[in-house]
Amino acid sequence: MIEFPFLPGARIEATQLNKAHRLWILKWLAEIEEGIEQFEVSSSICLAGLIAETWIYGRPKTDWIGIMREYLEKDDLPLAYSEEYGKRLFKFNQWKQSPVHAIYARWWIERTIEAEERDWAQTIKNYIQPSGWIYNPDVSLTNTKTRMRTELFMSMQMGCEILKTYEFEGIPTDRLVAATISIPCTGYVSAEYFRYRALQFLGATEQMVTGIEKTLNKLQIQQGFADFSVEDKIDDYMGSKKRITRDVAVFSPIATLYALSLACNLSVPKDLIEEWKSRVKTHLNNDPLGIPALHMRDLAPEFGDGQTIYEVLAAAVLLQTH
Amino acid sequence: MRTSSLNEVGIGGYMCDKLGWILIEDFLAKTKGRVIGQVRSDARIRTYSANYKFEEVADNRIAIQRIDGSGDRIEIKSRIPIDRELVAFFGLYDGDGAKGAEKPTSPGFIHVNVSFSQREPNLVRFAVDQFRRLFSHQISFTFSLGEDSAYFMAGSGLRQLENHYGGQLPDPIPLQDLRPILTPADKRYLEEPRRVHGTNEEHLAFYYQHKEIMQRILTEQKMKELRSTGIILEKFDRVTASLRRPFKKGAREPGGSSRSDELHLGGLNGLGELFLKIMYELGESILTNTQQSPQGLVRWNDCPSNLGEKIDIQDFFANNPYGSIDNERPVLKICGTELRGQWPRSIERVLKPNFRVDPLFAYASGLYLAEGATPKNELFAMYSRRPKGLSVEFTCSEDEGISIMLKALSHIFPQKDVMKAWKIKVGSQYFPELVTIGLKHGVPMLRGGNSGDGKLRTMEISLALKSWALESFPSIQPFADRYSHVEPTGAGVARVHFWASSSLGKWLFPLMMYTVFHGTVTNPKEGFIID
Repeated sequence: MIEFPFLPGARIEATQLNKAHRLWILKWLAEIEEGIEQFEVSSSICLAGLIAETWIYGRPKTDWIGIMREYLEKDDLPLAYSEEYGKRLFKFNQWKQSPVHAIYARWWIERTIEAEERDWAQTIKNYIQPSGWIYNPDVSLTNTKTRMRTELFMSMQMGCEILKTYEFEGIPTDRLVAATISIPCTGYVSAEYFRYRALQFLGATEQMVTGIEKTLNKLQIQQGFADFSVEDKIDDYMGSKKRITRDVAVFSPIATLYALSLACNLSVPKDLIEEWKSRVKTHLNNDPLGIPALHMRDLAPEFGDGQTIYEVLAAAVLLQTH
Repeated sequence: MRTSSLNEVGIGGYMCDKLGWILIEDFLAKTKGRVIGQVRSDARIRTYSANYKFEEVADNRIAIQRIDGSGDRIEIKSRIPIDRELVAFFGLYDGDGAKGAEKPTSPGFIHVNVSFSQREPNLVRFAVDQFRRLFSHQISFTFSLGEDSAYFMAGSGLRQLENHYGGQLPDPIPLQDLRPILTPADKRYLEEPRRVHGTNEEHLAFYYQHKEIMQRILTEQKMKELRSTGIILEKFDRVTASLRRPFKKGAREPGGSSRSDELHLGGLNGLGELFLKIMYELGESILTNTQQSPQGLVRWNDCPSNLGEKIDIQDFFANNPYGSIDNERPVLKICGTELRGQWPRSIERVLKPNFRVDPLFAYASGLYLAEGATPKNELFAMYSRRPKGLSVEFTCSEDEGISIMLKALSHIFPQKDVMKAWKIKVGSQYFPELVTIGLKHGVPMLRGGNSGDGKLRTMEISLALKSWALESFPSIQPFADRYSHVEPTGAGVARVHFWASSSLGKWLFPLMMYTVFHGTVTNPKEGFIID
């Protein structure tokens, strides 16, 4: 079975969906169809589009590889955004970028639809930094210290997954493992999930950092899990807690999938895992689209979307597999 | 109802060009002394309230104090005439003034102490003058310089400290000898993780070993700066230094500075709520362009947009001392119905020929001087030397501020020129939220620039926040297509930052400076303190 680590447990095949999820996904597919006809597309849209179509129709109905080759490739490198998509922001010249996740999207789609695969492992090899982290400095020269943890671990997982298909040929894997365990437990479920998956691909899960169980306990909220704990918002330099009285972490099906995946792989008691699963299932059965948005303190407008294609897909996975 | 006459003697005793009145006594009588309102700042909505008693005293003045007798009793005019300097002062206070601190026992409720954070000497002098005009000599000032003690651990701070010791620091004393008994704050400090060189014990020992000397150095520095501004300290005025433990105030490395300058007002205890009420009533009536403020505390002589000095732009830039920059003046000509102007070595701009220094422009001028991104020293130095970096940029966490500034710009320039582009700045406290938003769209959060505070590379996150900004800041909706990106910053809530072409600065800033300082500084070339 083809795996998609971004949504652990997701099957890439025709899937029985809750009616609310099905309608939401169909609406999203219709929206992106319009964008694609205007050449406005991103690699993350292609990935979600392929999965959504496979779930709904049993197969991809859109020529995703054709789209990626035509709009999401420049100088033999996959792009995260098409030029037209880049115009959604005013004079955003940085639209032309080939981060690890764009390479991964292309690689994953090529494998999934059994298109002719290019040697993306070589590109990933070129992205391995002396520190052992995997990223493309051409996207940004941001130093490792100030890169987001989730970015570092997600790119490590994606890079390792691609490299593993080539048996890490010529790659000193110890360097990658050393980088992956060089940061203590972060307190973010996404970062820890991608760290663990990277170690899985590297065959080194025994090196996993400690403290994950404590983190999972902190990240629990009423319906499931959030990616971060408000109480752990601490200034890196002052060391003091931020003023968090108005900050609220919200339920995220994606974060919940990651938490459950980590819990199943680590030494979390089974009855506790079952309790978590039961709680999130109850919530999603009652309210399949009950995926709240974040807010900026007291302001009423939503700070970013609550429901997104990836969150709805994750919610569907939670109902199907857990 | 009392009527007003033109050119009445204003507060402080000089003739003022009155725009309206702050009707203190009428307002307190109507509300039975109860002052209640909301403060919207930093994405928080908080409530303030206070009950006052008041009585008429001589010369159309009233004495006000909290009804429970707490706080100070102050005498002010029962009706305060409003001139444009006062409006600009409230704009300045809106940007740099304290809006109140939340009561730990009552979340969402604040108590208000009047204080003002600003370092620029000309602005401090202006604020002090305006406070004294409002409250005469019943108030006192405490000028406080705050700094992170890490400033003294390297660089110029360390040199100052070494000089004080005669060239070399004494040997370090262990923390346990300096503080055998630690306070709870010390214990918390020692337990906190921080990404800096050295140990918490060493940093805390440094702090206690040199605390008094560091405070003395800072106090002397502040005294020296105040002397250079020409501010005369009165009997009860004080100068102090507030020193924080290393890295607790914002220094990111040894020698790093996180200076803040505060102006605390004495003699106004308990009256902060009334002061805030005046500011918000004034601002609201300006923004909605209504003759009377929502609760009637402010009454303008006409619709605010019909008030204020009319200025012929051509004449201003040809003859007014404030219309010259570094001894140069622009060329202006009428082309059909348009006025076109060009400064030497700059691009031609279209301007509105007639301009009025209405209350909105006065308020915006004060607000921009407080919060605008243009280097303040350049604004004061531009009359005597060629200025650098006169960018037109403004950041605000509330729509009211953005709206006032855009309206002020459109007093002078065509609507299409008032904004080049805008972005959303988000402080590090909300990076976890940005990461979550990225995950919701299947992507990681990719930062830009060496230290990560450049343009966010992840378009999905920037696009996801666009509708939040347009809803929270309706005044930028006409410019929705000029949204550029999200920018991660060190601190602060998510807020909008917009900018216009830098070539507008040479037209805008002379008019703003004229608006705020014309009444007190006749010759801008010589009347300002320049670093």
